[in-house]
Amino acid sequence: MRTRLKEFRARYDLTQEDLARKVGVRRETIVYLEAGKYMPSLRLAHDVAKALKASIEELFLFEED
Amino acid sequence: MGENNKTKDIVRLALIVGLAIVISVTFIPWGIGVVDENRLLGMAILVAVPLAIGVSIIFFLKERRKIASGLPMQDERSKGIFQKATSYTYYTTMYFVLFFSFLIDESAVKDFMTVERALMLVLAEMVLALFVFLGYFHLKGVPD
Repeated sequence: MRTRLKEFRARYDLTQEDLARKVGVRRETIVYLEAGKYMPSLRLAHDVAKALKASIEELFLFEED
Repeated sequence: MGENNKTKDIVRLALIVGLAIVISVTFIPWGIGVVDENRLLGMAILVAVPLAIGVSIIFFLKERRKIASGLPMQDERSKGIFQKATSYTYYTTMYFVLFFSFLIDESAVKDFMTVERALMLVLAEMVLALFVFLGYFHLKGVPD
C-alpha cells in the first residue's frame, strides 16, 4: 500500500503531530501510515481523509495484483 | 481530544505508572534478603529497582506532556500491538511453564530446579517476553 498523506499534509501545512491530534491517534500511527506500513481501519481512513479534505481513494493507493 | 478524555488518560497513566513503582518497590526487601547469600543477584536487584522507578517517572512525564497536548494515550494501532504482544507472551509463557515443570522432575537438574526457582524463572520470562514482543510488533507492525 502507498499513501499520499505526506503530500496532502504539506498542502495544508500540517505536521504529523497536528494531523494525529485532528484524528485522535498517536503520532507514530501517522508515521507508519505515511510509510505505508500500517493498514488503517475504515474509521481511521475516513477520519484522515476528512481531516485532509480528500477521499480515501486519493490518499490510500493499492497496487493492482 | 476532549478534556474528559484527557483527564481519563492522565488518571489511567498515573495508575499504570503507580502500579509499576509499587511492584518495583516490592523487590527491595527481596534484594536485601538475597544480598547476603548471592551478592551479585542482590546488588543487581537493588540497582534495577531505582532504575525501574526512574524510567517509570520519565515515562510518566513524557506521556503526560503528550496527553496534555491533545494526543491520546492509546489508539487502534497501539491497542493492536498490545493485544498481539500479550497473546504471544501468553503462549511462550505456557511453553516455559511446561518446560520447567518437566525439568523439576528431571534427575539431572533436580537439585537446581526447585518449584520456587521455576516460578521465578517463568515470571522473569513473562516480563521479558512482553517487552520483547511489544518492541518487535512496534517495529514490525501488526500483520493484517
